[in-house]
Amino acid sequence: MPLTYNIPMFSILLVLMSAMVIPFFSKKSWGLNLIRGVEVVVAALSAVLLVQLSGAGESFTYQMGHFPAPWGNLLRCGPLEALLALVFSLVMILSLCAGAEDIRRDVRADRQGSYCVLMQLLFGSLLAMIYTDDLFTAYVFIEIAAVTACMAVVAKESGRSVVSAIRYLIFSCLGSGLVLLGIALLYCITGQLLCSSLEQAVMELVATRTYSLPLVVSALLMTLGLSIKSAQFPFHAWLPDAHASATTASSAVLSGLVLKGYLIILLKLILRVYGPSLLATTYMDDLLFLLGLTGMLFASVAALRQEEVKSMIAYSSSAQISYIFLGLGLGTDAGLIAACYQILAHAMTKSMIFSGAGAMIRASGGGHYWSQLRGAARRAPLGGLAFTVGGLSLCGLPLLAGFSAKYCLAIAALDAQWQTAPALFGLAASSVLNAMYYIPAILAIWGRGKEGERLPWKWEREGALALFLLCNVVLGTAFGPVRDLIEQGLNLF
Amino acid sequence: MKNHNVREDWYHRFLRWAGGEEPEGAEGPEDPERAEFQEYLEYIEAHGYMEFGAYRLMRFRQRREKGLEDPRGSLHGPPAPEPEPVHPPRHHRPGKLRNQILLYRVLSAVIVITLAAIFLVVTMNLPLFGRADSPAVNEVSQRYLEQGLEETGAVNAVTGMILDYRAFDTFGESAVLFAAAMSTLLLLHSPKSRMRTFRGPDQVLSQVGRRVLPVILLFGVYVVVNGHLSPGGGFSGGAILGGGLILASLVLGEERMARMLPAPRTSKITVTCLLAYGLMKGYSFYTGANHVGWEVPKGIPGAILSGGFILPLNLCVGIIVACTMYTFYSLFLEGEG
Repeated sequence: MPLTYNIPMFSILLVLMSAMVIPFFSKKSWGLNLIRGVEVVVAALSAVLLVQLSGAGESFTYQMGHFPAPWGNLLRCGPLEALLALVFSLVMILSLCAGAEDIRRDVRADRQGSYCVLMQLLFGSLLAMIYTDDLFTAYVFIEIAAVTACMAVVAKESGRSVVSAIRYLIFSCLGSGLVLLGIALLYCITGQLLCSSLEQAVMELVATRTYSLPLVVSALLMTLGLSIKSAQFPFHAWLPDAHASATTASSAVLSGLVLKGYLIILLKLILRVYGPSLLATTYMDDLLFLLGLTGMLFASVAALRQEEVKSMIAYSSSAQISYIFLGLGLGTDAGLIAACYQILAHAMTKSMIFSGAGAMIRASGGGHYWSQLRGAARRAPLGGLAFTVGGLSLCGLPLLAGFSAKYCLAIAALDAQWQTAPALFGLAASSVLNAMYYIPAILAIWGRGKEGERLPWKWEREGALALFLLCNVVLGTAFGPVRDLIEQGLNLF
Repeated sequence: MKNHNVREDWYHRFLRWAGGEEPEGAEGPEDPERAEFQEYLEYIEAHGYMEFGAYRLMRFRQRREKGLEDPRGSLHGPPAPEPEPVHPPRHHRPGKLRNQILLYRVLSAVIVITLAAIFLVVTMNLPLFGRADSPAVNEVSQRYLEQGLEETGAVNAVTGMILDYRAFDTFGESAVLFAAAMSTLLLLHSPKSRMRTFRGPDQVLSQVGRRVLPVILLFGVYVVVNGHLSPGGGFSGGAILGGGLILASLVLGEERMARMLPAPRTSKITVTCLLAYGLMKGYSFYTGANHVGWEVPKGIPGAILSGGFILPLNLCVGIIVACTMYTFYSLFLEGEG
């Protein structure tokens, strides 16, 4: 076995254990530097793994310990997992760099160490969700993500963030509970927890037509639980306040990455456990499709009504998550590719918009209403540019990441059956709605407002924003290679 | 006849509840701070968002303009007359919810009843628990039970399962506990918190506690250390130890315990155990997956020093669980004070 195959196990353990070292530090700034350093290492290792796996066109399983799969734990990694790990660690580093000043200002000095611990545990749990092939392991790390994500919101300790974190906690627990019920039902009727064994067992159950009701209900419960946790439209009530009231880095990570972690588990359930054919016979994919279609429109309409920049971005996250559901609900391979592309594009774009908005809010002296942000982009030029490019990317301007994702989705919709017309209509309408709230916002921030001091130049923040812009353009222009990589990854998934 | 009355009563009570009425005896909170917070919530629901501090400042200015005293414990003269209610009385729900409360409450009842019905039907369709032909009885559990002793060296099959076969899950579970402890630490701990003066424990508690405490702690240690040989292990023994620490804090006084185990020290102990767990399991993940060999000797099954890493892992998990429980207790106590 090549040495590089140890990278998934090594990066999960490294991230979790680096979080556990932080309480020993007496100087608080070391915590933030340590976690960013570890994330750089993880990003580099994931890039090595990605190059090797996509070159060889293979995926592998890694047994955690001395015992083979159904008895011991198992990790599974192919090009798609390596790509996701790379993008997630990049977004994590850049968000923490762009939001570092806000962390120092928003989180009390004696609590910044704990904040870093929790953010790193959150990242570790996301990595484990990407790599695991075992539903119970996935559930354990869903729990870690639930606890730490709530804390990422509440760390700011303003009245609003406390209220919204409590709401988030309640929704999150409901989601986890439904997922756990689904896993328990599935274990009762199959006796397996490992995805590959589950797939066989489910196929047998479908062929012999036994336990069909518990099987369908378990699929429904897990879909429901995961869509609550990823803030899909009717269950998105917790998202806007939680993401809008957190500190900049938390908002960027929560919106960009945490929502996607649950969607990756949903993708694993669809591809590795239930299989597309079962979903089609039980109309589960139609359910996903309709959820996605309504979410795209309603969440965008809600975003139109916001008077505050971060709430608007948060509602727009819920709309963008719906694109992923739409792609999953198409039930074709092209739909799944589009969903994965949207996961990557939205992770990059939304965290960039939140970071840019954070810089502008800081330049406007903490004001986050549109009236206070007039002309903010002149005071924080790179932040304004990040917000502008991100907004245009979500509206679907060519050569940017959001356009490529939409294009991918449109191609996938053309091959579908009855879904073609509604999907294309939804895409068009939602792009128009996106433009209706992003373009006035962009005009407002570049317009002439009250004169203020320019935000002092900090390499940490400006460098991160510039890298965000670069990644976004790369994801938008390198459409062909990235799509091929995702396709290869999904074939080996 | 009586039965009919009762049912109609319930039905009407449901209707009144769904219409937005509060049950009797819940007219309004007496606590002035809570009342103020409720007013605040109604205000932000009706007028848009505002920080709580800013709201209080605004109310304070309003009251001062009208020449009113602070309603809470004014020092000068008799309490001022009630200010005019700007908002509707409290038993109305604020904002959007007020208009939709009938729909909201009826729908919530319908959803709960539907879910309960679905779960009941599903449960009737599940394989019976513990039957030999149920799907959960398969080669997985068979190997755990039949070859567990030989492969892990632990007489207690459950411990062998959670600390050797599926040790990665257990690492995740310990990390959940750690995350929860760090969260409470982040929210509730402040280094300069004033310690409440210790009033001295209740006579009965003190006398009984001092006698029982050593036994509890010793039993906890026994359950942890003997985890691979007899029922028990890190999680259950750690819970006993954690309960013992809480009892110690009640009997000996929070100050003495806070000197012995301050919150930063407990979190350092937890973290040391987690790191030890991670290093040990990292070693066995690496050697196991790469087939390097270099296995830890398993010893003679039944001896206290056997089972490879299981004994130290049990110790780690036990200490993590105990410290987490004690951290919760001490921090919530501190938060109350």
